[in-house]
Amino acid sequence: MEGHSQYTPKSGFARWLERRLPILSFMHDSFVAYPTPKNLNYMWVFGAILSFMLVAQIVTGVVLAMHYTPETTLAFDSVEKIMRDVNWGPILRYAHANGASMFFLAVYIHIFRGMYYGSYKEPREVLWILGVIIFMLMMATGFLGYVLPWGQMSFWAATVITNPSSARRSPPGCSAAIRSTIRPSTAFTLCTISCRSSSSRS
Amino acid sequence: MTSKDAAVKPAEPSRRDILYVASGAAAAGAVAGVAWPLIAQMNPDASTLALASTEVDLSAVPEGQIVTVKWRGKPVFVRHRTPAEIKAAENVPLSELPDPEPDAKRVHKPQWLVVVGVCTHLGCIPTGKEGEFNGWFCPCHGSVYDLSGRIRSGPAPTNLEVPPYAFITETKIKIG
Repeated sequence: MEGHSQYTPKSGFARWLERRLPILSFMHDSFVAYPTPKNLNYMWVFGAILSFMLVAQIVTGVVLAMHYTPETTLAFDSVEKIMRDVNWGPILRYAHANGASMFFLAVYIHIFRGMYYGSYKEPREVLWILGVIIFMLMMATGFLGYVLPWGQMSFWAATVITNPSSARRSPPGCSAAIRSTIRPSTAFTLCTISCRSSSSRS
Repeated sequence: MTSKDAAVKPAEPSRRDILYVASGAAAAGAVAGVAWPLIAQMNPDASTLALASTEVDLSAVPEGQIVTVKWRGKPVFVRHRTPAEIKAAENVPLSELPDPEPDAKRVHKPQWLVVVGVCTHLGCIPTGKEGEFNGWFCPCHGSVYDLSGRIRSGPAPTNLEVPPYAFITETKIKIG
């Protein structure tokens, strides 16, 4: 990893490119010759698995977004269309939904690996804290994705997560403000996720 | 590799070479398998394809008349040509045509001309029985089409497109 790259360009074009943009040695040092401590075991593959899951979720998510309608009265129908009409739609949607679960499974193993082998210890505390922040962002992202179809499961999940009863534990004064930001109307309707960005709020 | 080289260096592929090739092939297969659904999802689905064809009853179209039907959101001209019009369309020398195409290749039955009613220049809808050849005239930029829907003068580069269609019965066609 550290030190001079072991990569030597073979073709004339590779030499030309490597001298101007050392992307070939970067790829070689990242994916071909990547020295690691020899006591690593298979628990260390989960970092790479998580990178793969992130890419898979982004790709399937972008594709699903092409067929999804972010509007409360149309969202569920657009998801039904994905499930019934779109070519390979059910495969793509289940890959995305179950992929999110698999993503979390992998991240739990990754976290417990870190705990068991002490990956959080000095001098890696900041790395661990960043990981915790990413984990919380993951949970927020997962919740938002769960809400998108805007069926019964989504609706009540949104109700529970933004429930006032848990707001009592928030700092005084904050809970009402936060709640009214997340829920623009007092009567929580099917309008919270996307009506906020549309001009007509009925 | 010649036999001389083989004597110097053993040509046997190593275990590692085989693993490289096998994992490369598996990766290529996996990439193709993933790419297939991601591309296929962009194709029109079954519900779209079900609306992709239009049936037209020709018995209601008297000789000399043009009807316009809608097919995949576009106008399609169905023209019942008179014998004189058929003759005029067939007798045009190909050398006079900017986009040479004999009339016989543009019709299934000579009395029925079916063309997509979108000017091949910039997509206006030409008006029927207008222009020098009494075929179609595009009011936008003056493209003139003849009795076979072929471009004769004006900026349009090609003839009016003939959609795929077939006669289901003597008096009924299915476009698309």
